[in-house]
Amino acid sequence: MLWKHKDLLGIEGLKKEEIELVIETAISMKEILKRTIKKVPTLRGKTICTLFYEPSTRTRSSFELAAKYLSADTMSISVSVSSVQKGESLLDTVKTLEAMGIDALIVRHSSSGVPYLLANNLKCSVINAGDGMHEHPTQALLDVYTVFEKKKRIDNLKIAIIGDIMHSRVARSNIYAWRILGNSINVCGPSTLIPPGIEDLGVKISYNLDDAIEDADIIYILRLQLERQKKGLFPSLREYHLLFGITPERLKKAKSDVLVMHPGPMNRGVEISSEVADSIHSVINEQVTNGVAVRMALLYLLLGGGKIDETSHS
Amino acid sequence: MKLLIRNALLIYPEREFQEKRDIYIENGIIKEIGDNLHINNIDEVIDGEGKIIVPSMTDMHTHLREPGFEWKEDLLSGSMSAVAGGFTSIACMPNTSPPLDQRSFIEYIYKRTKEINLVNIYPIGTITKGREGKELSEMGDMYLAGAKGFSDDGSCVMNSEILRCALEYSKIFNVPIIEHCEDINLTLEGSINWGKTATLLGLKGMPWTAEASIVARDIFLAQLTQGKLHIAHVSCWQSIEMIRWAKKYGIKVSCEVTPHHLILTEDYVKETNYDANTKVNPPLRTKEDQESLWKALEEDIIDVIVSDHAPHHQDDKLKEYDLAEFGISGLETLVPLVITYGYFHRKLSLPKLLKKISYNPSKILNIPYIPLEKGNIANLTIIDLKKEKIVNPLEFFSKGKNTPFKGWNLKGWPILTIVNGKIVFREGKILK
Repeated sequence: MLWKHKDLLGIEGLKKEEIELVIETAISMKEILKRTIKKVPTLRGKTICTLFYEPSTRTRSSFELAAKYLSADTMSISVSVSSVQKGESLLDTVKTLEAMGIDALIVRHSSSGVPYLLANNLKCSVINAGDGMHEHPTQALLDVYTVFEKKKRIDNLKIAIIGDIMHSRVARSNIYAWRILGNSINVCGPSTLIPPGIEDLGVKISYNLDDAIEDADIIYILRLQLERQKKGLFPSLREYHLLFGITPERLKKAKSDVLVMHPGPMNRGVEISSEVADSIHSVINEQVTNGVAVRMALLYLLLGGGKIDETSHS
Repeated sequence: MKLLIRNALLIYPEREFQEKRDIYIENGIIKEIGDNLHINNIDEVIDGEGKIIVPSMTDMHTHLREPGFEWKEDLLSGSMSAVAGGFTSIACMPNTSPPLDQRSFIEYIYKRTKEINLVNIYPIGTITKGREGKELSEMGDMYLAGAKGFSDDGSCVMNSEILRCALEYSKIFNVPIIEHCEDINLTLEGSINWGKTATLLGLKGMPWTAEASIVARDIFLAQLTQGKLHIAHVSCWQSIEMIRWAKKYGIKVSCEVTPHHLILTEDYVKETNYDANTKVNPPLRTKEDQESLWKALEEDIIDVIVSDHAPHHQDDKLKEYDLAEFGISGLETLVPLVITYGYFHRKLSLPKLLKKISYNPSKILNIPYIPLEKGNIANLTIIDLKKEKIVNPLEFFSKGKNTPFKGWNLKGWPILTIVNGKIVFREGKILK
């Protein structure tokens, strides 16, 4: 199985085998991360640029570290100090970067669809690091990988995704990924935060948290953007926690070996209690570590870096 | 100039009738209509086989962008685009900068129309001063200057009392109030139809309710006031059902639809991977809505087909989908879209279809409609039903190259446009 795509714009449209290829490749990459010297020459001579139009800590640094561990040169454009502030259009900005010879552009933008616009207008690889409310494919892939590590399987699982489904690109990418792999999914949150037609993606909708997480193998908790309350989408954070917050008591409804996941950053005491976030069920920190491995895998696959230096495995 | 067109299908939209005849035009006047006409010293004979002749084609909803946005379109480029699209008359909407909200702007449009001397342009004035929705514009003064209707198009008149007054006041002049029906509280930041596709694409949706609830409100206000209401660009089946109800009860309401709402659905936004040329307001809706629009067209619930010609510069479209401007350049594709999809695909009759782009809009706006009759000045278009062409926006006379139909193969293109007796467009060329 070879990776045939120039870009990674979303999970939608990927094949099961392609997701499995990313996971397989990430296993090798995780090996590298465990070494004292975390560097291989795989992408030497390649230049990778991150362009983030939205604030990010973990995704951006995760991509940058992934590129550095594979010996690629990295460039990071911060929109707040770039020509964007002078009114330069998005396309002009990326064409300038491409003219400097970059091999891959990793982009995050608040507008859905931006990676498609860029991929259609650039020759270099484009990786979607989160576009508006659309997709966050690398997050979903690192989530799948994390589950694989813990459960040794990525199918026949019962997954509950809890929270603001409406505005979540993580939810969409995760739904696509888990459905492609053959899992059952419940989504649960306030009805004002469940988008129309989501059931067409093959998920069940519930407004009752206890029902949604009953016998779940995985509880995936989404970050609640606090400004949603000001827009009138739910009455108060207090009530949100009461109805949809994951607490140790709530966790008892799920399977005893349930995994609790969260893409971060967390609002402790709102969507997740600290007891749950720090419990043995939580794999939130592993998600972060695995994010580097999965992004290394993707950069390797997309940029055709050739074989990982076998000698450095020993 | 003596022009004889032999054996063309003549369309009489006002009677929903068609017949094959010869038509002879001398110095811009229709001198004879008949069979096997024998005319001496003819300058030109056109073989009418496979061609139709339609009188007074009118697009009653265009945006010509002048004054204020001349880099997107101006009255000259808009006029060229109109005659290339086969239109002898167009009405231009007032959401310019400044908006057409007083006599001097209406006079300016007529002055430039006369100077350009290509197509009849009829200005629509604003309903409210500055299109702000707060105070009525000087409708009377604008009417006297030639405004043929009033609209705050691009925006809805959200204040119900202001719209009630507009419908009441416009009765003095018997002109339509053309409403852009959109409850903006429900569509804020939206860029696509509310529903499954919006969810999949992660775009903020604009629900059908935003349109239909205002359509309902406006219909009741028209019933209350007995004013003339024209609903712009209907797009959902719920609006259609409201209009059907209103017509049944004799309320003075008419409405229009665009080819893009008839032919495209929200799925096309996904198919084209966020191509901003699919971004229109109201948004492309569902298959169910689309079917209801065709049915309503056939049943004459929909009176008019318009382009809602909204030319934009590529800089306004080649950008983030939610930040891109709404609208498509439509004047030059309306006729072949209607012929291809209405006539060839759906088998609707030509007179019925073409009535909605000639007779009906003329009657709603009370502007001249000149039928194909002996003695009338020639104000007509020849459309070649057999002519197939790939849509190439670079060939548009409009400055707006923003079309979702780029690369589509369409049939039934206008090949000759005569406005007020003068040939102004012929086989891809503007004749001045």
